[in-house]
Amino acid sequence: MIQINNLVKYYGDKKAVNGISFSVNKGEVLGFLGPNGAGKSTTMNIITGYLSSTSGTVKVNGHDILEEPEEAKKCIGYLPEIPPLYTDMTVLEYLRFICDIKGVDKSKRKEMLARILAMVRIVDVSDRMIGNLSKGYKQRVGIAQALVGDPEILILDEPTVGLDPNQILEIRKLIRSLAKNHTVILSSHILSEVQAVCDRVVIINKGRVAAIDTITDLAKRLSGTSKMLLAFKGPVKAVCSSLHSIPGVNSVNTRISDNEIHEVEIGINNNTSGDIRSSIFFTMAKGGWPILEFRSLDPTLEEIFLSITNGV
Amino acid sequence: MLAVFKREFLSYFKNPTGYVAIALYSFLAGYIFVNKFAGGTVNLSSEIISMRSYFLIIVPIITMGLFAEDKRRGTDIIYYTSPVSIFSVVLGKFLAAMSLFFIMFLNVFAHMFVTASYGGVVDVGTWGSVIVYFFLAALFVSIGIFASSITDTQIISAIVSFVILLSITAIDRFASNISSSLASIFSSFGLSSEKVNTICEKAEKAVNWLNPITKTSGFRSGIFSVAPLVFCFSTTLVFLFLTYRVLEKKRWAQ
Amino acid sequence: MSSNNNIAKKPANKSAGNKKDQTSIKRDQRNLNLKLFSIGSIVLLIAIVLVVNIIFDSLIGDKLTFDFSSTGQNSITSVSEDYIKSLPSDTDIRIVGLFDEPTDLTGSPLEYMVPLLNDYQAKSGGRITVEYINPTTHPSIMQELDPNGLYDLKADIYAVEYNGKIKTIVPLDCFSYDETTYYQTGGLRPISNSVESRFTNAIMSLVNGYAGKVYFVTNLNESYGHLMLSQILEGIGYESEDLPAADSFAVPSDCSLLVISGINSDLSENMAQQIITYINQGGKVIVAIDFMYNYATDYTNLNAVLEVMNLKIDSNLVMEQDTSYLYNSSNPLESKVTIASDYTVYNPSVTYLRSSLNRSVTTAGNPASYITVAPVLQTSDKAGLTDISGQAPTIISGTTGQYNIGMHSEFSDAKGQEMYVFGTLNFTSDYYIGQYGTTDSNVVFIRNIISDMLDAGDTIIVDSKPIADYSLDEDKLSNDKSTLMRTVFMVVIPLAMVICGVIVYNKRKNL
Repeated sequence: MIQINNLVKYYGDKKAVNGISFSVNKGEVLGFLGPNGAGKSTTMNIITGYLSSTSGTVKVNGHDILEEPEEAKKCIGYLPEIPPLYTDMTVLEYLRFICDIKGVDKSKRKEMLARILAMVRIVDVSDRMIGNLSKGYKQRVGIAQALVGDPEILILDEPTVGLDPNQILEIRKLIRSLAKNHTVILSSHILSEVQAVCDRVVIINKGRVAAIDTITDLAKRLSGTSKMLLAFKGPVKAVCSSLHSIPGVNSVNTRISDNEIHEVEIGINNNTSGDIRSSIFFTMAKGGWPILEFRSLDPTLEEIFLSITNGV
Repeated sequence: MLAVFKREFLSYFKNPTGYVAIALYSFLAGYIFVNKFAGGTVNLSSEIISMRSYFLIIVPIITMGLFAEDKRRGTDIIYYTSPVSIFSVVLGKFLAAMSLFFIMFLNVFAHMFVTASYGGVVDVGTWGSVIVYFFLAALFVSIGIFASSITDTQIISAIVSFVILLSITAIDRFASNISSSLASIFSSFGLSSEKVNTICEKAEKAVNWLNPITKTSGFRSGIFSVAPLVFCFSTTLVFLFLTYRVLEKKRWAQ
Repeated sequence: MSSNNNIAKKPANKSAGNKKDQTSIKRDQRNLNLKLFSIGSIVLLIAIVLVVNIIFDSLIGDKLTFDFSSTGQNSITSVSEDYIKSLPSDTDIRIVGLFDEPTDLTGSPLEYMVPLLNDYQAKSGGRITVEYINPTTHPSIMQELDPNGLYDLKADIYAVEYNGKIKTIVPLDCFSYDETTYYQTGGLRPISNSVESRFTNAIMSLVNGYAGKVYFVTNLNESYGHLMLSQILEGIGYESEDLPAADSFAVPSDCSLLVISGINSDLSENMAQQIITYINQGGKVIVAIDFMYNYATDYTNLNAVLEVMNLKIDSNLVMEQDTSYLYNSSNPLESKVTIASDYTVYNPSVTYLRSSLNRSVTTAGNPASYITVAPVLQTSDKAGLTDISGQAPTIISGTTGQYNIGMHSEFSDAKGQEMYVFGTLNFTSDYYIGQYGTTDSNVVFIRNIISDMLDAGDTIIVDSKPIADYSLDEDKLSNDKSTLMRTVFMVVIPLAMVICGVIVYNKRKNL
């Protein structure tokens, strides 16, 4: 469906994208994962023809975006990072305009708009000015805009950013339902979001592809190690050495050290049998060091990259 | 193209912009007309040609938002990522601005109607000036659109197009300045004054050749000439094409 | 866009590595090609546009220029065009405006001249060139045009040059002005435009020379000048010259036609004798005397001249009584006069002409068989001689009848003596022609009579053009109406638009 080959993009002399290559298969939901500034939006802008690459090729459905832009663009519905909304139009006026500009058949237009409005659940705001809508609704109008014309490929750039948790869940549900009929590329900087909706994930960092994998394989690769956060009162050195002695604990790093209260990060080898958490609890109780906080730490993307690139 | 035209044209009337522009034009054009009317003689050709100076105010108002506002709002991405050619977008916006301009111009048609019903002259010369006025409007609107495409905010776009239009209306003064400064430069080299004057006059003429204002002045007294129309039309094309190229730059700029 | 910012925030690579990066940036050749195409297409388009415009401007622009003015002020008539095209194709006529070429013509007489002269050049097939050379910046032009200082060249006039001969034309002289405005305010309000006739006549006289000379008897307290009639004469190839009254008065031998128009004192006996001599040698005379400032004048000597041709001009004012002959019922001094049937050939398009302050012209009781006298212009049969001694002019009883206002007399011998006498100045004075223009029926009539008298061959008559009149119908205008227009166009429409804008804005703001 989409072949991206050795994409490079410079902004001035800054390299934003550095040789990204991957492909997207028909009917697949591809997660495009990376921290802010990794080059996600740039890549997506290049795929959709909004920006040009410095070198490398993008082929959409066999059409090169540089050589046959109109053919390529016909296949794509794009929700950019900032939804391209005319705030001085009502939702319906706006979507009709999008229909016109995408050349949707007049006869199909009414049915299509009704379907899209219902799908993204904006029927009740369809006569309101876009400028007066809440962020969540605007995001949905943005998605509706991408859906107009039933493109085979949907490219959604951070579709849930800035939404409240309920809205995020709704949008994710929507994307899952769209995945039935579309090929979707979804960018995000939140691992759980990608895990929730994607079949495959491309992880990029600093303009390079760090990993391309299915979600299940990725989970396996990440499952080797996890981290816990522990805050307590007591002597740091004594506590640390005690914790180290617990089998299965790989590392103990001090995060914050106050006079009385200390926070440490404990690296745990998941393959160890038995519940390490209880061992830690009992160790602390034995020492008479009160536990103030004790929880597991989700890995940050940076850590994932580190772990992936370090091959741990 | 039609989609863009429809959106931009209706947008003028969904915002106060269109109404303000029409009100302003009506007031200004009315001012010229009513004064002549009260005096008892209405030379419509002359009136229409005199209204060229209003382009300075009207054109920035109707063109400033066309591309600058899209860029500010991020809506330009719609055009880049839809299967439409950017030139048709440029053309759509241009036609929208011209249509608004036509609606403003209905005022002048009203003036013509009033003049005719009061026994004044509305003849083929008047229609000649109407035609050339529209060609001039097209040229000036295309310049406004170009200004809008090279700037990121409406205000700057308005200022840029105002400055460009102002300098166009001042070409003749600019030309004579060139001529006189050339003359003083040459005379400091001790060249014979009459030759110098000839060169200066040629330079002045060459610069003035680019002036759409002097080119179209003859329509005031009933001269209908195709050359100025060709000039306006072709330069309109040039500016629309430049706009297209400026916008299309995004496709290949590395 | 924001990804852009994000990238920018990223810590820059080490500067050394950066430089290395830059030199090794591989750019897609296709993008470069697009860039080249883009720039190339712009350059190409501008080049094409320039070429097309230059072609239009200098090569075919003239052919695609049309005169849409209601008065035809910007184009030469077929009369001038045909004449110019009849000249040999190597004819070289230079028209030089001795000033900078104006860019804005509005409100200046040049508005009627510059475009017209361009049309001369365009339609002349290379025979005429029009230039503008300012003698202040190019003093040598004076020397070039007039090396011997024969002509009165100065700045701000046109010089028409052919074969070293020059005719000068002063822009302001190419128009006739409303006399009333001039007397009341001293302002010049042009009412007709004879630019084309001036230039074509100038060209014609330069190329062909004159067919003869017409002398005007002057210095006898004339009411009006004869500039307009002189221009008309120039159009038929005759030069005009004044012949002032003097003791040594004599009619020059090159006189083709003698005009005695609007004199307010009688000829001297000697002058009368000289003129009779001239007539007897086959002379042609036009006499026009009206009843205005000269009602007390007894034209004894003039009538002695007329008697030779069996004509007499009466000293009474003729007043029209038939209201259907009046232009304005309150002014019986201006009336229609019918053209006698033998003379309608001089202006077949009308049956009557405008005449005012008439004297009657009669035969003088000199029934020589070789003289043929015929009436030319006649009143209705209800006109009468007038007594002006009372408060209001009254008809002298018993004088009602038809009067002749113009008569024609010719000898049947081979010498061709011929005379027209008019009891009005409506055919010869600047006052009349200036007011009604050279296309007026009276003017056409007199012009054709003169052409016929002088047997002028290829005459080129370029009519003067009216000045475009943009005035509205005064009956329909009033202060109220203009206030209404002011309100509608400057208040109602703009306000309605602003209100619409506010309503729409408010409505949509809360959608």
